[in-house]
Amino acid sequence: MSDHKIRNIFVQGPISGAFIGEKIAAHSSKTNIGGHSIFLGQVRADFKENSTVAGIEYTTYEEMALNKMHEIRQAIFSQYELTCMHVYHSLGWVPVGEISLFVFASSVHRAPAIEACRETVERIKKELPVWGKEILSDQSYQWKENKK
Amino acid sequence: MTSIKITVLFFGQITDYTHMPSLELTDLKDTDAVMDRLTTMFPILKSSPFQMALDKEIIHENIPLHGHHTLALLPPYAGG
Repeated sequence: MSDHKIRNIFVQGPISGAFIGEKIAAHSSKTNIGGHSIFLGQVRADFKENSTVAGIEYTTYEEMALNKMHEIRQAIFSQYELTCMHVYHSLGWVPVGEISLFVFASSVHRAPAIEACRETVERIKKELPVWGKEILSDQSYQWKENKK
Repeated sequence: MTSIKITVLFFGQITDYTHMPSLELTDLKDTDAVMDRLTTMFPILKSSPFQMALDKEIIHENIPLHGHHTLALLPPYAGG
C-alpha cells in the first residue's frame, strides 16, 4: 500500500547482513506476498592509478533527498502493484565489500516486485542528492561518479 | 525593503573548492546575483558541473528572492 508519510531511508555506516535478514524475516506475516525482489549495492574495490578504493564516505542533502525519495516512492506505487517497498541507503563510511544500498520490493506475483525494484534503484542513482567520496588505499580520494 | 538572507549550501566535490559546507549572503535580489557573488569568491565554479536547488527545488532560471532562502549547489549525484 502506498502512504503519504515521508520516511527516513538513511542509516549510518554499512547495511549489515543481519539487518537485511531481519527485514526479510519480518515479511513472513504478510502472507498475501508471493514474491520479493531485492537489490543490494556493494562498495567495489575499483583500481585507480596505482591505488585501490578502500571505502566510500557518503554524504547527502538529507531534507531534499527524503523529499525526492518520497516522490519516487509515490510514483513507483502508482505504477506497479506492490504490497510494500523498503529502501535503505548508507551515510558516512562504508568499507569495500559492505552494502550501501538495500531496495526491497514485494508484490503478490513476481513481475511488479522485480520491475519496481529495478526502476527504484535506477531512479535513486539518478535523482537522489547523494555523494560518495572514494577514499583510496594511499589516503588520497576522488569523487564517485555513477555509470549509466 | 525587507532584508534578504540567503543560506548557501555546498555538497560533494564543490566543498573541495569552498572549504566550507555553507555560507550566508544578504541583500542579493535574485539567484543570478547570488551566483555572481559565488563565482567571484570561487572562480572554479564557472567550470564545475552542478545544479542549483532553491529551497530544495531544482531551478533552471533566474529567480527573484524575498526574505530567507536556501540555495544549494549540487554536483552530479553518486548515490548507491
